[in-house]
Amino acid sequence: MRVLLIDDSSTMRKIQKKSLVEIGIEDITEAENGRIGLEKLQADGYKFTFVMCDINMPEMSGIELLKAVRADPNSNKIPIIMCTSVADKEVVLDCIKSGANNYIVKPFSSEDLKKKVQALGLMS
Amino acid sequence: MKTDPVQATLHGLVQTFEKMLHDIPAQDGAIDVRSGSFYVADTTAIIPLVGTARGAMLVSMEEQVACKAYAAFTGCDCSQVDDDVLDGLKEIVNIAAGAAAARMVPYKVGLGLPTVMSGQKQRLLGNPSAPWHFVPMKSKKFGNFWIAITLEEV
Repeated sequence: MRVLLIDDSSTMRKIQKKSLVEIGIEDITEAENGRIGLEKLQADGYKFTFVMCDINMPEMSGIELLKAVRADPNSNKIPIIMCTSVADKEVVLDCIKSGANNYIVKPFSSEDLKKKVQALGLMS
Repeated sequence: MKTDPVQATLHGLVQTFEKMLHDIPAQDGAIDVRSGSFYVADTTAIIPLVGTARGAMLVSMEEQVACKAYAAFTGCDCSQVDDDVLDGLKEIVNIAAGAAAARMVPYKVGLGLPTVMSGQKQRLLGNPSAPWHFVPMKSKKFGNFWIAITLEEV
């Protein structure tokens, strides 16, 4: 399973990477914002199993990335889990409307993340 | 129903530690209401709260405690407080405040950008109309620290 992890905070990437490793996912590519994430997605030939993406980021936000990924027929089927630190209904609705497959609210445990990946049908 | 902002803050902090640092800290004494200027611990992260109520929340730790908390949070080693540790504390207060803000009913509270201060003998000067409520916390894994909130209706 290959994951593209997008977050502008290097600390948050470390924490999310730790959680992914704890649930058995070790092939992880990191990106610092939506634009770099999109570049890595294209450079990789759209072969990531799923994308885990923060919402508030400079240059290209998570929502902008979502819209760009869904607008491209090469990538519009890649599952995307959005991460948010505020359980705001409007933010979550915006993610779903923009094409997110699921979302996870910080704080979350490795077990919470596993359930989200399982809900995508990517893990038993 | 109105939620006590201090209880919301405690909930957000405990939930963050339980889920992401694998520890459940507990309140360790009476809440201390502070106004005017007062000292905080060596490593202190503050995040503004904005919306229909405004104020700020902070997490304040001695360096040793911050280092242990960072190591548990990220899975990285920590021998001294550096920029990575300060960034880790910033994320802890950001996540805890997000979880707390969601419970500050009936207010609609959003988060500003967190800031971390590091160094000895730092003093904060509060707003006289909205005193800080400091809650002493005890963690078996990391040691003692403080969380605090100031909030006033707009």
